[in-house]
Amino acid sequence: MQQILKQLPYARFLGLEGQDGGVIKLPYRGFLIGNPILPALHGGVTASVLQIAAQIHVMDALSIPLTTPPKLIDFTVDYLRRGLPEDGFAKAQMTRAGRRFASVSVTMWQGDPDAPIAAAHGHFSLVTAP
Amino acid sequence: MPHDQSDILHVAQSLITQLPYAVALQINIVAFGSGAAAMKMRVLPDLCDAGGVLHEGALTALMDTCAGSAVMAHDSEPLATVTLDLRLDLISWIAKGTVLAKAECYAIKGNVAFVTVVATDQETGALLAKASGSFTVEYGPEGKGGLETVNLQTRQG
Repeated sequence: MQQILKQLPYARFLGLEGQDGGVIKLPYRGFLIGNPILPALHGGVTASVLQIAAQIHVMDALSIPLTTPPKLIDFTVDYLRRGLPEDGFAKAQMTRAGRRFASVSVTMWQGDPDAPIAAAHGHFSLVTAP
Repeated sequence: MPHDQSDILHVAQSLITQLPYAVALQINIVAFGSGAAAMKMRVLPDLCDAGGVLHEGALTALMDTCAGSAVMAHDSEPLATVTLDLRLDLISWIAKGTVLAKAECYAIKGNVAFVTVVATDQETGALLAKASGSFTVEYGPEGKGGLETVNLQTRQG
């Protein structure tokens, strides 16, 4: 997981770190803010962390090499709470993997894993498009 | 509207430069008004996946920013907006050049705004992604404007 994060430029840009138990950590930094008045994490940051956590989980679970990463087909994010200016964590669960598609659920939380700030569901293509 | 388009764009761009993550992604606003917004983002190496293709997350961040701006551009002049949900369909990928996102806030009902947003490759016109989302809408008290009047949301739960 750490290896994939290191070789994914956008994960490095966000500063993502791998943790035990398949958890991805987003260390808080000032540029991650979307609304400086509240302040709140940018919704795009939250969506990005969810997508990367889901993608890496699929790659880990199915032993997919870095050269052919699973590509997102669709993704739905529910924003449940305001993202606070602090570290965030995400963990994904694969609902189903077939030959061509994988279905993944993923949540992100900050202080309390039982109080997620966002929950998402998406589908990945496991075959490289022509 | 008494302002001309370049004035409005100038104000809208200054709004965007107050959003640190939009600045980090180097997002530029190209249109703003009447419930619509358009933005550009260059495909920078930092925003790509291991194969050099723009990562879906960076594209999502652009589309979310553009959608939220379309809400702010609505004629009812909202003071603030927060994404409630966003559903994204990814059609094709982009490895170089510039992404153009166009969002339309097509309805506001009470405190909820409904938005669609489309992202294309600016050069080829190829459809990259399409999304729809709902956003909260905050209005200030009569005669009081500016972002400082936005109610500070308290954390739920």
